[in-house]
Amino acid sequence: MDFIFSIFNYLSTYVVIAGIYAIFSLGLNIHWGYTGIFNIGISAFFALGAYTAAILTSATPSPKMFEDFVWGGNLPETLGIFNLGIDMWYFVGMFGAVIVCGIAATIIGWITLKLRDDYFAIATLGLAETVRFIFLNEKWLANGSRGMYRIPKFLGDWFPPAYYNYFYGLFILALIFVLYLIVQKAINSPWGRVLKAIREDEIATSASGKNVFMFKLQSFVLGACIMGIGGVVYAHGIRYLDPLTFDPLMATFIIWAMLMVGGSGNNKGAIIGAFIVWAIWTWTDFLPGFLSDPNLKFLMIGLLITLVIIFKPEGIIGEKKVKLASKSADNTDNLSTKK
Amino acid sequence: MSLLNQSENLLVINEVTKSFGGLKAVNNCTFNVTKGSITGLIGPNGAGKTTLFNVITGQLAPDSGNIIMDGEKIEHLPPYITHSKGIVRTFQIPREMKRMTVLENLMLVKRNQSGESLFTTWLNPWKVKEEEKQNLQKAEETLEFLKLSHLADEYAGNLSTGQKKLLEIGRTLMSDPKIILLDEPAAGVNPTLMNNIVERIKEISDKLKITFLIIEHNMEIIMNLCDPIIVMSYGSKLAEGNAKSIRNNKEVIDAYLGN
Repeated sequence: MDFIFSIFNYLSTYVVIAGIYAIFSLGLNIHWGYTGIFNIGISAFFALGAYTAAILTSATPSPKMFEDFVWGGNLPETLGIFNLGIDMWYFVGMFGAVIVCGIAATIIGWITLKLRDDYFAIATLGLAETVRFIFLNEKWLANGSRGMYRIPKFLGDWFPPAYYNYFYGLFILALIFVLYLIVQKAINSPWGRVLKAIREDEIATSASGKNVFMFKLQSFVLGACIMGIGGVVYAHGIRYLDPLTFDPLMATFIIWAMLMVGGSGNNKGAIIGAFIVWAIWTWTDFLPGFLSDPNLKFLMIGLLITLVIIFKPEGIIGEKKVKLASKSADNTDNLSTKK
Repeated sequence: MSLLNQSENLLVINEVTKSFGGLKAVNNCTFNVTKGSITGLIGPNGAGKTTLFNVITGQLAPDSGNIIMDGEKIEHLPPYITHSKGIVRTFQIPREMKRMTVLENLMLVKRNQSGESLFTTWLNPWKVKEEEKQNLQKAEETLEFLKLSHLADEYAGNLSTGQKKLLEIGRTLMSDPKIILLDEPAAGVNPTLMNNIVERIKEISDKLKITFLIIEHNMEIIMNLCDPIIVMSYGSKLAEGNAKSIRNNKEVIDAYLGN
């Protein structure tokens, strides 16, 4: 019985982390899957979202708090006014994070989105490191390398703490569903059609009367806001942040792996990819013998990406064709016979 | 008389120059395109025809000179604004959206779609849906006109070159243009499709009264379709006239064959 319970415990943690990654993957799918924006600075928006939420909802970090955290102590009292039982500060933090990420993405996008793909990628990588070093060095802002800890739980202690992960996992799944609907609505509209056209051919899109730059900017901002929400969910789920959280491997490149495996250009694929890659990343710990060696994880993720690229280059659930024709629906074979 | 002529000119190219480093791709080029005409633009390779198209549509800004469309200066406007003034173009090598269906390719182009604003999409989906319905209908009519209906749901990347060229013409039609610039509509196209393309151009010109400016190397098409024909060489206009006068023009023959 205990064994089963611990499995459930483990699974709830898995859902929380994989779900957070699924949110990032959704955001990246808007950038890369639909618009072709090569963003390798996901961790910048992850960090901005997470730190904004943490700063808005937790008390100012103090040396005493650090001792409390390390040695135990009566922390809830020091959190003061922010600990309101059923506190709605969570959503204030989320709102703030979306605003901050939106403004940051607008400014950065305005400057960099006119760069060609590869130069833009370098710029986003630089942005990610810049943001990380700001939070590392500005101690007054986010406690530097000691990080922010004991970030309040979602809805405080309103839910029994022992089951927090179950509750939070369900909340994350619901949030993913809502975000999925919002993104799906945007992508299936004429707006999304312009994004796809930009991905295929920028020159032809501008020759079709679309202001390519403005659409790219909107896509960049929307994706960044969703990544910011992912950051908020992370901050209140793990409840500890330090600049090391936002290293490029775990905060950017693993998300790319998720999107590639799941299928860029398909929101369901983006979500499923996150759950698959995170499963491989964590479940390999249970393999027998040398197979559980942590370094083999990299090999396995690499192998997975290679296999997907060879056998299903569009990802596990690739982009779906939009079928609109009102008559003569089954013509797809016609063309192949003609050729 | 000259005043009357002025009003009939839809597009005026006035002393336009565009150079890349030391090369003057378009050099002090001046000509007019009359409203309702099918004007041909020919010249040896490297004469600056495509560069001129890029300058007219705003992909490139001219170094000097004016371009006047319907009495309005347009020489420094970006492509998406010149498009809204009614100037649309096709490309020498078709630039279709490969991983979008033929219908999507066409529906993309319609102007002033309210669904292109995110907030309308989220907050007023009914309006967007209604517009999409009309848009789809128009796209299907266009496809029918181009005789591409059987490919409506096919990815544009899977079409043959000739079908892609037809699709590009379809894209220009979707935006209710005033003038269509065609860059080699018949290059690399098999004869049957080529006839289809020529027929469609004639029909558009006759029925919809849309003006054409056509770059083409296939003299048969140019001589049949276009009047007047403008000859460019080394970035400027060499000659202008109807098919017969161009065919007998010694300067033109020299430019093509070298002397």
